[in-house]
Amino acid sequence: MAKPAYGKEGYEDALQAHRIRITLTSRNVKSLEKVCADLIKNAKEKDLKVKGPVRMPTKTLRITTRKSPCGEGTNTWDRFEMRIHKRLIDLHSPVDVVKQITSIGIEPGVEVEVTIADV
Amino acid sequence: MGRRRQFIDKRRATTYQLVFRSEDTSASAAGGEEDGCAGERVLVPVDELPGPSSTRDSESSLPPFQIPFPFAADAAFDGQDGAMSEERRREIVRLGLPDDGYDYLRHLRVPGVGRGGLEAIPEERDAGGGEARKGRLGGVFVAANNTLPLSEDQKVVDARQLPALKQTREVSGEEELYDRTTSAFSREVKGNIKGRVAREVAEVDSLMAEMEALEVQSNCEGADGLEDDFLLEATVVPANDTMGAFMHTRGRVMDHAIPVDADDEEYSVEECSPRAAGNRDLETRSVFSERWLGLSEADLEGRRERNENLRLLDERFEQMILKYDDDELGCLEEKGIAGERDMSEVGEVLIDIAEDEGSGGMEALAAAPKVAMLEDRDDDVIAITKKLQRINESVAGNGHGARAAWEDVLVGCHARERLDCESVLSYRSRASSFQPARIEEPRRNKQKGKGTIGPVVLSGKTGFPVEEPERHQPSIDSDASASKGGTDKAHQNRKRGETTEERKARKAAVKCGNKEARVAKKELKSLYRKEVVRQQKQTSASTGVSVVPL
Repeated sequence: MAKPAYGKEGYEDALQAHRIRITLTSRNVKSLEKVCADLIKNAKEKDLKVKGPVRMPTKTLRITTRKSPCGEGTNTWDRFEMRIHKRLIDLHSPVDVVKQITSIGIEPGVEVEVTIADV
Repeated sequence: MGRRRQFIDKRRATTYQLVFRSEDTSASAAGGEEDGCAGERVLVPVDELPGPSSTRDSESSLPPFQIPFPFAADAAFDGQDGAMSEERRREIVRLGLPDDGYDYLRHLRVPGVGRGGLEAIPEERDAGGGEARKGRLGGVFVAANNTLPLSEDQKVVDARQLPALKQTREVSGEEELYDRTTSAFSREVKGNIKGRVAREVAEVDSLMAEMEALEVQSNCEGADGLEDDFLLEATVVPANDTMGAFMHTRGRVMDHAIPVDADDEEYSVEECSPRAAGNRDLETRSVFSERWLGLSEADLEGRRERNENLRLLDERFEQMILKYDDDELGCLEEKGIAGERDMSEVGEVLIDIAEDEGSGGMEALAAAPKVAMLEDRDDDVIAITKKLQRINESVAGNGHGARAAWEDVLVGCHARERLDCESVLSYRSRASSFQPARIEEPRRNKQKGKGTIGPVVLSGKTGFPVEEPERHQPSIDSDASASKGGTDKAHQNRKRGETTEERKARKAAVKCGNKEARVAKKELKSLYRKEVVRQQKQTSASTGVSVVPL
């Protein structure tokens, strides 16, 4: 297992810039875009090197079912779908800064994952 | 072409997930990964999170219908990672839920706690005293009497332990004199009063003594202690008028004959005391004196004090009235105070004001157009009109010079309200009034099936109303009605997208209905004719005419 990039290694390690990838996933595009914009804005305010947001292809989960519970009647079908949107943001920054950036209000329904490359 | 260098090598990277802070996650993230500012969310390594996300390698390995990133808050309470804690299990049993190893608590919401986890409140923040128990997600339940922790400058005091506040406070002399908590004046005048205050106190004391004497006297006379004194004073008569004295005391039951004198100060308190009254001759005792004697000393004392307070109040009010009853104000109902003004003086007043305010006012007045007030006579209007005509002519002749004069003259004619027919009519709005127009025949509603009954036309021959083909007749025959209903139904049943067969069937039904209606109508007509013949025969039989033209 890779050693953690921060915490016990010392002050200098905490200040060192790491390659960080933030993955944002959500079913709601609007909230996702909002969170992305906020993150990028915060990162730019702190003069970090930011790349993104990279928009990954949307995954659509489709479920088609019969409307009727018993099978009788006209054959009508329901088409349900769920879309998962994903965005990636790449940064070069120390870990503490990332923690500050992600401490902004995250919209409900948006999942945030932070991947930190070990040096 | 070689593969482009990846930004992050996942095999040499640590992935953290931003999750809500909760008991489990805070315990695992105790190493220093906790957010220093105690935010809602915290970064937790994905590997440490229980649930399917811990075994996730990449998104492609997931089955197509599984959501790749389950919520960590839910995953934290997933029972798949192992046995539940004993405490949790005990709580489940206590709540009466089945003890089958499933964590039912994750479906229960702790009251007062939001979704997800809450930060566990440290022990020192518990309110002092009171019971506090930790909830499932770290919430603390505190009894109602210890809700908030106290700050340094606050102290909890139980009011039940405090003694009742007594009136033993030290007051200054003046303050005590004007102590109005229970009575008009303070009952006791304490020492250390000097100067003006002392003089006032002495004055008040003397007044009180007078009042007391008066009151005691009236009480001795047997009257009710609350009776006002001024009645007595008003009706008091000189000593030599024995008749007056008799009249004065007639309504009172007296213990002994006291000559009523204007100078009441002669009589001391002791003579009129109830004891003194009791010592007198028994025969002269009255009902009131007995009642007086029946009262205890304390009651009498209280009563006396109350009476003197009331009397003092009365005296104060009298003084106030005298003070405020100013002659200058006078009676407002009198004529002349209401403020009448003659309007002819208004102009002069305005000029005065303008002059007072300086030259600006005068210029404003001068600049204002002059208004000539006319009487309600046409002659004046005619004169003004002639004047205007002259001015117009002069303007036409001269040009600019006379225009100013013309513009200055504004004619304001106040027409008195003339209530004649023309003026009354003219006051009303033209819009709502009836405009005289040519009276025309009302339009006949030619639409079918409306149910409107037009003018009834009688036949020359029969004398009966002529039946019009478009008038809707109530059919007597049930078949006819059914057919009519059938035709209606045929019309109504016409649906969209009907086939040719259906259309043919519908039209056939309509035809059938119409035929039936015709038959019914013929029958009705024949009925009428028969009835007419019968009536004619009746009339001929009565009159004796043998031949009746049909």
